This record gives sequence, C-alpha cells and structure tokens, in this order.
Amino acid sequence: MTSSEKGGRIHRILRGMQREPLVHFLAVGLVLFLLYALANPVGADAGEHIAVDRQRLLDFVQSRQATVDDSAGKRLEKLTPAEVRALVDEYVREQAMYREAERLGLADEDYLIRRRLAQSLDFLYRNMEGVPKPTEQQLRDYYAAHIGRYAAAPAITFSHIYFSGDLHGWDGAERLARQTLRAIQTRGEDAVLAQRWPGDRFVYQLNYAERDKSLIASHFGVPMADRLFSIAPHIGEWQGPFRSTSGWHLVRIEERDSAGQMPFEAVVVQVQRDWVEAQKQARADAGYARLRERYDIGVSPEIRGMMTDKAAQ
Amino acid sequence: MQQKRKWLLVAPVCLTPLLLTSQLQGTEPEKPARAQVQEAPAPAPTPSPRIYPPHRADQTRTNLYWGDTHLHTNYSPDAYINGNTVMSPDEAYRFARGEEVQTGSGLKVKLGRPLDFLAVTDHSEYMGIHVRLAEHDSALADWPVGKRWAELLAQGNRVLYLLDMLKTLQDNRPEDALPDGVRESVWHDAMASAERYNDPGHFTALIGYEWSATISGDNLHRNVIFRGNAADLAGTRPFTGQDSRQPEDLWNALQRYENVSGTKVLAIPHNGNLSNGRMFAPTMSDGNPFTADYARRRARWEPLVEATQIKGDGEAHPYLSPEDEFADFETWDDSNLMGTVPKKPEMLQYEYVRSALKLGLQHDSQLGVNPFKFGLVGGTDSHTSLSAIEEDNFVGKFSNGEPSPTRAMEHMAGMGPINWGLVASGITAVWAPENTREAIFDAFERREVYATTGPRMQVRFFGGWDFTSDDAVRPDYAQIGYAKGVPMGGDLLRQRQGGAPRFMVAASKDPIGANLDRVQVVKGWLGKDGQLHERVYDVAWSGDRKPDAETGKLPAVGNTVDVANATYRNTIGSAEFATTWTDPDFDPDCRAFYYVRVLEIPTPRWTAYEAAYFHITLPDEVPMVIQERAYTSPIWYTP
Repeated sequence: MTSSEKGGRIHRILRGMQREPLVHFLAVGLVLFLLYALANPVGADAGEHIAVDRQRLLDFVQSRQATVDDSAGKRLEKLTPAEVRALVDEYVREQAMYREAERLGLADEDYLIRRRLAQSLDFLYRNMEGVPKPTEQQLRDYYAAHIGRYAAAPAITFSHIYFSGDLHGWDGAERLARQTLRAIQTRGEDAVLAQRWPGDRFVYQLNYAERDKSLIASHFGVPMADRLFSIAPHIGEWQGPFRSTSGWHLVRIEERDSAGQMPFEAVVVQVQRDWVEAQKQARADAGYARLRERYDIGVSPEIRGMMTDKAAQ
Repeated sequence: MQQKRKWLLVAPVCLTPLLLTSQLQGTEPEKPARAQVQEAPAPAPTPSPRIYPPHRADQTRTNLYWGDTHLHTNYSPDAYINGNTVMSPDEAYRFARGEEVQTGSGLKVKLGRPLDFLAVTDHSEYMGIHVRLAEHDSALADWPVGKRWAELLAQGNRVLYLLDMLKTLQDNRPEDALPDGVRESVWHDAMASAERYNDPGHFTALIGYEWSATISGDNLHRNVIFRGNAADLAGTRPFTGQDSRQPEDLWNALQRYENVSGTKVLAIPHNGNLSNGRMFAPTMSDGNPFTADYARRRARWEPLVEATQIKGDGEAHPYLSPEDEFADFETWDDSNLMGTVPKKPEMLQYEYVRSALKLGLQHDSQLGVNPFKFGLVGGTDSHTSLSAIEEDNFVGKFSNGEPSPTRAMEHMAGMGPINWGLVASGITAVWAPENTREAIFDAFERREVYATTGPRMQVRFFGGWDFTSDDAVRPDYAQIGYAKGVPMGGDLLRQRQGGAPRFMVAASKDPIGANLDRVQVVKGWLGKDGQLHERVYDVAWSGDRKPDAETGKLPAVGNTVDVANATYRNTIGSAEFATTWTDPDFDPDCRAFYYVRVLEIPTPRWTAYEAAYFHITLPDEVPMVIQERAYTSPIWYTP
C-alpha cells in the first residue's frame, strides 16, 4: 500500500463499509458523510452550507431506489434541466430537514435511528483493523479452552418393528410387541422375519441409517429418541418394546456413534472462524469499554433498588 | 462479566427483526461441529452374512435425505452487489449443516432443521471476482478491468464500481475476460470449501456451479453438479456463459470433465419459467429440429429439472392445464429473466415441467429417444448463502431483501418484481442408501428424487404390474415396492399378459408440519390420435369428501389458517396416506408418464408470518395463504 497512513486508515474503513450490505446503506449515511468529508475535503458541507455535486446526487438517487444498477447514472444523464433542478431541490430539502432534525435532537427520540447508528459503530469496531490472523498455537489454545464446542453429535442406525396403538390399543400393541420379541428370541430372527415382516405399517420409515436425535425425535417422539440414544445398544439384537408417540416398537440397533471429541485437525477451520469471531467481539467489547469510561451513569434509586439481588438486601 | 458479554452478543439479534420463528434461532448454542473427512471414499457395500439386517448400502433400503441443489454465495457477482459480501461457500455449508453463522448485516442465524446435503452453485461467470478484488489479489493487478474496479474500490466509490461492473458483465467483450489462472484459482477455493464440509454419512457437500447462459434476457441456466471430489477435478475449471451460450457446448464440456477426471457430472436446468419458451423448445441451438443424437445427449446429461424455486413454481401453468384447479400455484409468467420481453401464451408449453414431460413422449415417438426424460428437484436459488425457504424462516432472495417491515413491498434487488411475489421454495428429497456424494449423485441419476415447495413430507411412489391392495399397508411396503416394481424415476415396459399398471403411493406429513389434503397422480400420454393429453387423478384424500357427481372434482379440504396470527390447526387433513392405484384409462399402445403430487392443507404464507411479526398490513393483492406440495419424479410407460 502506497498511500499515507491516514489514507490507509480511511481506505480500511471504506473497505469495511464496502462489506456492509446495501440494506444498511441508508443507515450508515451519517458515517458516510463524515468519511466523505475526510476523503474529499470540499470545504463546508456541514452546518449552514449544503454542497451539491454529481457524486452526492448519484448516491441520493441510488439510495432512494434502494438499488444498485446502472439506471441511476443513465437517468441522471438524461434528465432535463428542470428535472435536475427538481432533483437538487429534493436533495437540498432532505439535507436541510435532516440537519435541522438532527439539530433538534430528533434522532435521539427515534429508536430505529439510535439502533442503526449503534450497530454501525459496533461494525466499525469489529472490522476497522481487518481480519485478525491467528497462529496455530493460538488456535490450539482456543480449541483447548473451548473443547466442549468441538464434539460430534451422536448418530444411530437401526431397524424397527412397529405395533400401532390405534389398531391394537396401547396394551394390545405392547403385548404383541412382547410376543414378537419372544418369538424372535426363541425361533430366531430369520424364521420370524423372513416370510413376512411382522407388525404394522409405520408412518415414516422401517430403517434409519446414521440419523441424529432430532430426526428420530420428530418421527418417534422425544422420550423414545432419548432412550434409543441412552440404552445399551446390544448391536444386532432385537430389544424393547419402546413406546413412541404412536405405538410400541421393537428395535435392532446396527450402529450407534456416541458423541465424541473431534480432534483439532478435523475442526481447524471452525476453530479459526470461532477464533476470528472472538477477536472481533473482543474488539467491539474493548471499543465499548473505552467508550463507557467517558460516561458517567446516573441510575435512579428506584432502578438501583431493582438491580440489587434480593438475597443481598 | 460473562453474563454481560452474552447480552451484548445477543442484543443486536433480538433487536433486529430477522428472527421470525424458531427456525432461525439467534441465541441457541452452536451445534458442535462434525468431523471433516476429506476425500473419504464411500464405505463399500459389504456383503452381509444375515438375510435381514437392512444394511444401509443396500440399494433397496433407502433413507430420505433433504437438500438444496441451487444456492449462491458471495462468489456470485449478483449476490455480492446485492449485499452478500461476507458469506462465502464456507458459511453456506456451515449454515446448511446446522451451525450458527452471521450475515453481513450482523444477524446471527441458525437453521432449525439442518439439511442433509447442499450443492453450492455460484455463477461461473466472474466467479469469486469481487471477493478477490476486495482482497487485493495480485493476479488481478494487471487486468485492466480489475484495475479499474480495484481503484474504485480503493476510493470507496461503491456506486461507480457497481455501475462499471454491471456494464462489463453485460457487454461480455473478449478483452474483459479474466486473466489466466484466476478462474482455476477461484474454482479451486470453491471446491476446497466443499471438501472441508463434506462429511460422509452425516452431511454431503456437493461440488457444483451454475452455467448462467442468458440469451436476449431468456434464462437457459443449468446447475452443474459433480459426483467426485476436488482431487478428481484438479485442473478443471467451470464452463461459463462467456465460453458458450449453447447447451450443446455445455454437454461437450461435461463430457470433457468425465474424460479427464474419471468422475461423473450432470446438469440440472433452472426452472424454465423465465426462459420465454426456450428451455424446452423443440429446436436445437442452431434452430433445427431435434436429432436423435441431441435427444440422447440431453437425456444423458440432464436427468433432472428444477421444478420449483424462489422465482416461481414451474410444475404446471393454468393456461396449459385449465382443468387442474391447483395448476395456478405461485406462478411467475410476466416476462423472461431480465424482464425485457413480456410472456406470450405460446411460450408456456416450452417452460413448464408437465408440458415438457408430455412433449418428451412426442419426441420419443419420433426419434426413438426421449430428450425430456427428467426427474424433479427443488432448489432455492437464494443468493444469501442461506438455504432458508420455509414459510416461517424465509430469508429472501438477496441479502438486501432480508426480513424487514418494508421488504415485502420493495423491489427484489431494487429492480425486479415486488418481493411479496417471491416464493419460499424449494427443496429436494432424495431416496438413497446413505448420505454420501456418491449415493446422492447416483439417486439423482436414477431420478429417485422429488421436489417440494419447502415442507419435508415423505413420499414413496412405486410402479409395477402386480401390487396387491394389501401391499401399501404392509410395514415393509417399501421393500415390496422395490421387489415387485420400480421406484420414482423408473420405467415400465409393455407386459405380455396385458393389464394396467398399478402404483403404490405412500405419503406422510412433514413430521413437524401440516397435515395432508390429498394425493394425486398426474398422468400425461400420447394418444393414438397423435395428440398429447393429461389428467390429474385424486387417489387418496382426507375425511369423507365425495367427488362432485358432475365435475368429478373433490371438494376443497377447508382452511384453518388464522392469517392475523400466522397460525393454522391440523384439525383437517390427514397425517398420512397409503394406497394402491390402478390406471383406469390405460392403453398399452400409448406412451405415458405418471407422477405424484401431494398437497398439504392450507398454511400461512411467508407474507403472513412477516405481517404478523412486524405488525404490518399488506395490500389485499398479497397472498397470505399457501397450499404447499410435493412433486415426485415420474415413472414412464413405454410400449
């Protein structure tokens, strides 16, 4: 980068702005005006002087359209002098009204504006110094400090035999399930299952391969999903019956991966993302902390009372 | 302190009105990451010593997987200029598999129900170029166009930069082409991202891109999706609409990929509704009628078509199917993609899926091969990196159209149609033995897939000759379906003993969604009179409704939607249907196809959720209720 230190800084800020989605374009208007003032010192586009130039008009047209295409530029070229006068009038009117509103402190009354500006400042704090670059050691330290985040969700593979509560009643369904389980245990799986799969038609599937708990819960209900993920799996053996939201089930678990710790190498990308995010958050927190020091906060006695823990009183 | 920090983190999310419902949960703890297994081969189907353990690699023991075949990130120029500057393919995959991500506007979003697979399909034209410019990529330093853009960027002159970029894209001059190596380098990054998040057995990250050929503003786009991994595709680069705007040339490029990589690839045509009669036109790019070779190549490379997405639903059109009271569903028929040429009725037959399937029968009878023998998928075509298209979590088409009190009445991307017309759709369901690139791709190829407009209803559809009425209610009906027939996407051939084909259909509601209204079989056929015909049969429905004696129409299911509160009740409709249906009008000499359409009961449309959340009133013309649906791939009968 060949520009001066000041230029580089502005550049970085502008790059930060560049990342802002268009939907914030209006919101960051105020910040942009300040930046423009820094970048192209046109004298006093402030206070009681309103400057009008091509760039300002283009931005004005673009912002009002909430769009970025080439129509604004084309339109500006094609405008008749009367239309340009009207556009300038509109621009000046908005500027004058805006500045007066600001002078009267109307922005302070408007929650939407307060929130947007606060978000814009937060965004600047987070991105002003570019994306932080971690060392591997920093990432390993971060991984070690947040090890709980980097665990694999458990998954299960199983088949089931379903006995419908609607068709047989809950007790009847449970009885049938127990009979079938006994038949499998005494006569063998092949003998019982080979001719015709016993039980009833289940609304979803007969076999589930490597599915997580939320999917199992959505098909069988949370209690049965909890049980399938917590019981001894007895791989390859029929067990049960288990009660779901719609009946009783015999289940043969083929495989169950327990929630496992993921090695650093397998999650390094995510660790890096999380680390970068944490750095940015720390910047925003630090920026706010510096800001906070400048303020003297006066909390009313009533609210102070409400802020105090009952136990401590 | 910890408490306070948490509050600071969460505050902007709570205050910012993106969180419409539980589908996007800003404050949930992040889901733990899964292992990233790079280039891991699919587990080989090991022969099982037992008869009945349903090994998951058994082709007939299929699981249902959900995913998006069409999603853009900040690598796509139009996504970038419309506000998606920070969400790369990494964020797209992370969001899809259930992790929390943060959008450029600072919103933290997390998908309530993760996807099982995702193909990131960024536009191949100038792919990733804006990200590279923002990063001051030295390879672009001497590229005049890039120089110009970088300068504008450095000045912070966003407006002129965007104007220049759009003009350059539009002009498509040879001297504006990217310098050698940049395309490859960006493509390498895109593939590397897919590799990072592909996790066989848990989450499939498919490698792909969108070839975005547009002729006179008419949309001919295709999503190119690979079976293999980045190592297979080393040294390749995406084929662009600048290379050629002719699908035949794209197919040649696909053939070259297969030759050099040893892996497989296919192309999925974009919803044809914005092609102004080009997508399924009966002519080749040179204007001549189809040849058998053309038809063969089209069927080979394009086994699927996108039937529904955010820019409209493409299954059927009321002008083409006046008898079908459900044909006018989220229809976009004003113009072509760029809005430059209005739609004419005669274009419609070459745009909609049902019509194209019918035309395919006619081509088949003339050429001996059906060029339009495709299955149906749904994609979002979202440009936000976020595949979030359920009614209660619709993020939108572009990043500058995120949920807000005003977006419904604003123009899409500032220049397109009014946002309320956007459709919170679609998603692809895949019947596959396991969740790997190979298994998902193979299901694509055999068309054992279906599209829905968002909800995850489960639909099985088998065709055969000797299903009994008992089969559909058996607990192992799916195994019976495979044993005695073919699944969706399959073929039935003439039987010597005669008789009509029988179809087994089983449909279950989205486990956390609305009940179902009815199941329909849509049949199209080429009559002995040489004319194309279609008919929609209601084959199962809820309650004790009786078809009208005169019209044969089944009465509507009713409506429990409370628009003001954006809620509905499952007091009507049915949780599931299972039935065996025989074609009552079968003629063994006539080519035909059959596909299933499943209708949900009416539910609140995304506009209703948005109006209720923001306490706004939308004009009367804005639809607030939707009847969501699934479309299966067809089963064809060929005499």
